[in-house]
Amino acid sequence: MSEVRIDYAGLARRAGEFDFRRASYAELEAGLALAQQLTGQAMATPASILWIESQTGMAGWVTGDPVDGVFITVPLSAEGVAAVRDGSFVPAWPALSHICSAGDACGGVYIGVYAGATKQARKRVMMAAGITRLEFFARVPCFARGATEDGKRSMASLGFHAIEGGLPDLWGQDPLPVSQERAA
Amino acid sequence: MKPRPDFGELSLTRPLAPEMLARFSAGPVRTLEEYQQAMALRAAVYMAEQDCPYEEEYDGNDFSSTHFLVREGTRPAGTCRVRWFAGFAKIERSTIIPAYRGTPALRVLMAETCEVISRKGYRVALAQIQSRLWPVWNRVFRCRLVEGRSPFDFSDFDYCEMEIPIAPHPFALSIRSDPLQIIRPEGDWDRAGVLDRSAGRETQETKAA
Repeated sequence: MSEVRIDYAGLARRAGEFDFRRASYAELEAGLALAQQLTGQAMATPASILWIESQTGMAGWVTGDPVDGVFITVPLSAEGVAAVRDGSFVPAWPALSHICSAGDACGGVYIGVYAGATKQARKRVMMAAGITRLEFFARVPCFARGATEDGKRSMASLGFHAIEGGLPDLWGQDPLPVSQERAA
Repeated sequence: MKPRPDFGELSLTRPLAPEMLARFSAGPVRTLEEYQQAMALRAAVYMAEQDCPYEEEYDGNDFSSTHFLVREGTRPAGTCRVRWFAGFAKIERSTIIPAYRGTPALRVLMAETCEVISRKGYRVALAQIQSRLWPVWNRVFRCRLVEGRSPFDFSDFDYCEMEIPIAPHPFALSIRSDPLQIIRPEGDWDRAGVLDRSAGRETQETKAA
């Protein structure tokens, strides 16, 4: 199984180029409320995302002031990747052993939330998600839930496919071919 | 009504259900009566059940610790104590009496304890646990064994070290927190205390003027 070492500074720099920043607690509250409003789905609590963020060094990202876009991404340990595939991963309250603690090897990425309130915000979210995937996590699998039809369509456009046997509505993307990673 | 320990419970393997908090309440010991209750619980568990010698159980650190109690109604069910170090808090003497083992008492106690630890600005807690109890603690806390440390023994048991990540509290107390907030009773920092109410009185300086 392939793993990556996360370039936290590089990630923050590239996210910043798309007007994304690591979220404060108040921004997480605003971002998750926005995502819940847009998707109609119950979200993890801001406190839970803050805990994940504090362990992984990267989880909650927002754009806009006031917040009009949110992107929650959880780096996984190898054990966490297996847990996503067998359905034992709990996105809103993950086990410590399932997430990639800051500085450890990362075995995959779980995208928890991506939502934007405006066309411009959605574009920034999609760009940030795509760039993050290609430039920082290409060598590992990526997972997300297809919570809405819109979400499924956008995941399909990014090359994700439905995965059976794991979490409900689980979609995933295998590690990208090296040539595609280089092309990015 | 006491707010739920939203940040303390993040150290647990799963969130507290509302009915757990309806049944049990926990918080820092503030009175001699509560202190006596905590010591009685420890005597019952450590001295009576585990045959721990008195002088090893009451080791000289109780007056330098913050003690916590969990109760069902008015009945004490369990206790623990926390000692404070620069950079980490140490959770010790965790105790649930037999009648409450297997109930949510332990989870409520630990969530409220970690809430106070989080609010004080700590990001990690350390616990020395009996090695045989690692599977139990691993089901209670989102925690890890400390890497690169050898097991050790004292008081007739093998021990290992467990590290518990503490959630960063968005309203953690700091050296620049409101001066009257800082002097409120431990764990009750969001409610005006007796000293807040004293603040409106005439001061010695204004009396002298």
